[in-house]
Amino acid sequence: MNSFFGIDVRGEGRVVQEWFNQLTPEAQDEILNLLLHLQSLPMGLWRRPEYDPLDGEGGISELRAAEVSSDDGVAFYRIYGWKGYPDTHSYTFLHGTDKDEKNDIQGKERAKWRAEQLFRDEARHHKFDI
Amino acid sequence: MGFFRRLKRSKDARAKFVESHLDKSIAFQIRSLRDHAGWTQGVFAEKLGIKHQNNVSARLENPTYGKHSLTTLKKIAATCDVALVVWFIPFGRWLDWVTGTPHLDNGLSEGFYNIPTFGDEFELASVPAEKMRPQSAHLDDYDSAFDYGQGRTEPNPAQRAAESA
Repeated sequence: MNSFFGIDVRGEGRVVQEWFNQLTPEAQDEILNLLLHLQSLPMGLWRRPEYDPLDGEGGISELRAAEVSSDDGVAFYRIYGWKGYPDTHSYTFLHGTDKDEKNDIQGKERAKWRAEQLFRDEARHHKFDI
Repeated sequence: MGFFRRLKRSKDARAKFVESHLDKSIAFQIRSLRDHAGWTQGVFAEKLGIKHQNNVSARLENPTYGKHSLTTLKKIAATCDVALVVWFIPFGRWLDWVTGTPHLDNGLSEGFYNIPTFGDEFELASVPAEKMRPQSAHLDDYDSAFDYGQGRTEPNPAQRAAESA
């Protein structure tokens, strides 16, 4: 079984957890559905469209939940993270967003920065509360 | 909020979790079966008698498709030389399943045809004492699906309750 963690950034707090907590219950359910599925699937079998290894992006990768429809339209959620941290069967979330951009440069950069903070001990992983 | 509380919210919420998990699992299993056999999507389509190989990726192996027919699933099982089981189960069993919790399986027994609903299982006030499954306090164990099952070898809450009764 795989485990999922959030990131606790010095001065910012549990950024992905806080992002997740303010989503609608429907959006949270959709993300949870994705995580439940990936939890039992060996990481070597994680593939698109739900998992994107983001080749060439410095080690970060992306999880994509299915679209969520609401009165405001259709939303699309993604979480950038680091596969294999803190151990080989773990995935640590670095940045969550609902930006529907083909190439979310800003989001990826933020995730990379947080990964660096994690590895420099300026941030810690924490149990992700669903 | 916790996973169990999410399920407890409504019948619709439960149905959606089941549907989503099933759609994803079946698509990934089909893809794994094809990979294991070393077949391309084109070869697989041919073996299954599917006209266009795009239907393998767009439908059978698509985790959001969700319209696999029993006929197709049986054909896939036969083609890949594996067994197929489709059954209805109580939510408690499903929770164990999706959270990777060890579960004692008695196989085909009387209980197989007597499937309690979510309400029967978990809304304890409406359940006769002798049928009460878990101790309610232990239901919180399901609240973190990501903790539950990891490295666990001991029985789940329902089994613990049954053993201590």
